[in-house]
Amino acid sequence: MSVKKERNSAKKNWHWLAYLLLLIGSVAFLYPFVWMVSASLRSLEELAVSGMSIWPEHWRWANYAKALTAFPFPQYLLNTLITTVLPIIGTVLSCSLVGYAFARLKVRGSGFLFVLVLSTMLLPGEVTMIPQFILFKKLGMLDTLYPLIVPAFFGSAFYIFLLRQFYSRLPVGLEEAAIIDGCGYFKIWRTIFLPLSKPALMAVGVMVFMGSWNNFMGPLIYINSDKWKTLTLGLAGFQGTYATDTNLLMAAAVVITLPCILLFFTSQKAFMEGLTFSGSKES
Amino acid sequence: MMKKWSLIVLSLLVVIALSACSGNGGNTAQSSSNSGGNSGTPKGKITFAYWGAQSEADAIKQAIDNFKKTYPDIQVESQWIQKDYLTKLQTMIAGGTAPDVMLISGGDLPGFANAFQELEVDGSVFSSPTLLDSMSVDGKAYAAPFIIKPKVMAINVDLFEKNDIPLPSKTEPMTTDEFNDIAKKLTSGEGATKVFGSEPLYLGNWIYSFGGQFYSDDLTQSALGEPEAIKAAEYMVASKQEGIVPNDTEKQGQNMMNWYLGGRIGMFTDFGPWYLPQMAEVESFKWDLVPFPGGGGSKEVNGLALSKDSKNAEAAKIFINHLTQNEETQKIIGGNKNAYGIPVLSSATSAFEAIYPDKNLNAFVLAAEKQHAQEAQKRTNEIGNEMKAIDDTTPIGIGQKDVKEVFPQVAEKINKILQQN
Repeated sequence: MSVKKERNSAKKNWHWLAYLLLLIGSVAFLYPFVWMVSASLRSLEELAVSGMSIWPEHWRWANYAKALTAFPFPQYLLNTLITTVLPIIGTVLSCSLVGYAFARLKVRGSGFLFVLVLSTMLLPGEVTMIPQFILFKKLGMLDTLYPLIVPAFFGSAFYIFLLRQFYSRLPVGLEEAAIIDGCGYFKIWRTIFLPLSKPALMAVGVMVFMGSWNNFMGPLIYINSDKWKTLTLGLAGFQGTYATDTNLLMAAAVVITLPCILLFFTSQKAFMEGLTFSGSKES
Repeated sequence: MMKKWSLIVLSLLVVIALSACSGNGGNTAQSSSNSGGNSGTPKGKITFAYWGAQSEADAIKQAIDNFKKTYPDIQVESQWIQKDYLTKLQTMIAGGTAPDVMLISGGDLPGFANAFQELEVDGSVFSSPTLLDSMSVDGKAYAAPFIIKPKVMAINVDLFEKNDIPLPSKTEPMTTDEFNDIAKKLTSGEGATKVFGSEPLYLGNWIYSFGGQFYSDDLTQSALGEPEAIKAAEYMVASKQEGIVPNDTEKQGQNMMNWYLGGRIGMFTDFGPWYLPQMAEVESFKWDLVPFPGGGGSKEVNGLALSKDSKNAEAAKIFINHLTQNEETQKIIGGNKNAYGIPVLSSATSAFEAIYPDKNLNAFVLAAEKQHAQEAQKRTNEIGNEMKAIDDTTPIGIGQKDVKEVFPQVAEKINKILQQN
């Protein structure tokens, strides 16, 4: 009994150290965000002399009004939502379907095809930028939101790989039982694999959300008109070639970052489960 | 059954949302169409691309609105590119969707001249005959001067008064020796509160203070090996060694404009018009503007270029002429509170000076006329790579080698690149 007590007290000591380390880490990671909020409430002059301090002398809430009226915020927000939600749907559907096929349909050449799909990850975005631009020009889709949405419906090598790994670890028995019951491959994917892969799909969804919500280069290249611009372009408007309206930039950035933070707190469990393939445990 | 229906509904939603994404936009990228007909006056739509922050874009939009009032038959579709302007421009040119009119800086012009049409521009109408030179490659004008962004020196008047230093002339540039003396007097303190005479000096400005330049007049040879350039470099090194400007450790990751705003810099030499809106908010110290020491500094000239593939070139030419040579438009762009730049027409510079009447904005106007323009070459990336040796190997940056040894070597390497043109 006393040995157990000693062990528990040793554990408690370690817990204390772990909490201390976590606290230091949290402060280090939280500080930039707190600084961003603080900078959003200062004047440029105060910002220049404030250094590391995070407590504004005069709270300038008007910065928010100024930042959010500097560009058509509701319009840009709507465009950002469209170019975020639809790619999530597109990526989840297309990548899970392709990932399922690569995991379960063993046909001649499927391994080679999988390697071919993976090899597309090696191509840097700069190389494909101009050909893709010309492609969308020929499709008459420039200065629309299509180039920011349509590619998601054609799969993405990384997410296909992620989901393929997830599916290949699911018990074969599930599939066999379904086949005996008369299920086709498509129905197996839709009724068994999709529901079972919820954590992985959530992880993919969160990653696509982050990528699309923060996408700058895509809207920059394809969008010309104000009516189709997204929030990232709105943010860039506060940065000149040589001078930046840092306080307004930070005010807009705080508002734009909020959905990401909200999403993180609401879906972090599913996100972690999906990435660590906890759904792959065989019973 | 329910699941099947939900899948169908989801698919329908996707289709509806996708169709909502384009509206009439599918055709908007098909830039211009000349519907001029037989009337003789160009009509139809032109596209105009420009960069800048929100405040700069607002200034340009006002100028466009003024054009629309005068030419209601020509529609201007503005393409404001917030960031990475050259990347987007290159992509559009490569994709065959170049805008009809493009804002371009003199420094970038040589690299893009192939995509532009040669223009017939009368250089004598502008405030300085050198403006058109900045828009020319091999003697041919590929853009019309639109706005000028020169450099002047901002001074902290309170620091001058505190150290009993007479305020510099508002019209005559101080000599480089005078600058050095004043900088020494302004420098005081130690550590995190040390006040410096100036921010670190920039070769791109100071080379002209010593009569040097980056290239020969015909742009075929590097002039970095010339005594004037080396003298400028030695002056910069000395300023660091004397401690009158922050050293590499002190300036690491720091914004020097913030230091100036915080009262830690007495003379801010690399001061462009883009800092004016920021300075207008300053309440904690008195400041003013004086000419760049030694008559140095360099001005950025931005011009309007016409795409080689423009389908409505006549309307685009009218637009370019209006924005660059119409006094009222120049006053609108130059007189904008956001201090977009100095007008290229002498008759319009008063609008710029009126933005902040209690400050010596005339220093900018004088610099716009007299200052050396940025020197430009086609192969800027390769030349830039060779120029890195200056920062890497001499005390101007982090190195130890003598500038007398390094500058001629860099000049030789740049000459080899220029010979390949």
